Amino acid sequence: MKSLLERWKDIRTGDKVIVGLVLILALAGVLYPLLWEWLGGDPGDLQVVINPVGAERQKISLGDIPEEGKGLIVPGPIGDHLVLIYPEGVRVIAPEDDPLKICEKTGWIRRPGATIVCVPNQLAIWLEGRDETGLDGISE
Amino acid sequence: MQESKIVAANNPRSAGIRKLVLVGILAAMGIILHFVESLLPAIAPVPGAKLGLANIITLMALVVLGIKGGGQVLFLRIFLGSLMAGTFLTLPFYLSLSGGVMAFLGMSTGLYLGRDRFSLVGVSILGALSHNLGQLGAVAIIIGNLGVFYYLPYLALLAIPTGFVVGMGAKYSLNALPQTGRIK
Repeated sequence: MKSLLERWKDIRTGDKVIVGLVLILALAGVLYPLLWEWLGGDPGDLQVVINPVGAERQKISLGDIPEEGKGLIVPGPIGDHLVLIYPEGVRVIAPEDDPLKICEKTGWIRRPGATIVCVPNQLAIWLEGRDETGLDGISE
Repeated sequence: MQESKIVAANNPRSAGIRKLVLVGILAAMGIILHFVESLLPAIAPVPGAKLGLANIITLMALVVLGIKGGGQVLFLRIFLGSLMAGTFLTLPFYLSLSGGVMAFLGMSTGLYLGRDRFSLVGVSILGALSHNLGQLGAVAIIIGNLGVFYYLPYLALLAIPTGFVVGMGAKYSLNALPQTGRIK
């Protein structure tokens, strides 16, 4: 049995190119939200968008949420989602009938663009910059 | 890519039968691997990420049986697997179909158009990446929202180790096949 390092010798040029491209693009995509926080991004400036498929979008500004948080019940095809909104982030509790509960396992979202999706209950929730401020970190 | 051929003992007709049997065996193994994987706990921090063990079978089928045979194995695995799991024409079925077909296209491209530029590991990383694209695309269509692509960078990073494991699994399984005396 060859060692793991020796097995890499069978790796061809195309493999290196694809791994390199993925590393560069994916790391950029992963680091950007982290940078946002280091650059002084504040979840209080964000709003959460709750978008059940085929129903009205709801937008709630995280800055307006009290310290102890706020719970919101969002009905869907397989049951009610409980959306927990806090000033520093958002998470959901899936309904009993959700087979995989991937949305609940996603845990907290705290950065712009971060998304919770529940496919069986046809619900998407994400964070984005607030519409009404018109200001971002740089203009301040 | 590695050349392989199904050995026909004495009768030219038996080659076709052996190929048919091989398609059936590979599809069955793919279904089993898919079930085994569903028993493993999800350890990855990204929602929906998994190892993709059944892709070992798709990759092996592509190498041994070519695009046509590989496609037969893939569709048999997804259709029979979902019928057995009771998810036929429901959400998990569409997700595994979109991911499976995209992974198949990605791996075929790597194997047959890549002209030896990729090892099996590279081909299976291509498969994992296109699987991610297919599944996220299906979710985006169902939800009507492109937000899920937020997870693409995380899933793409995980495609490297999972692609490595799947590629190695396929490589060592393929290396062992000539010992059966049925395939060389």
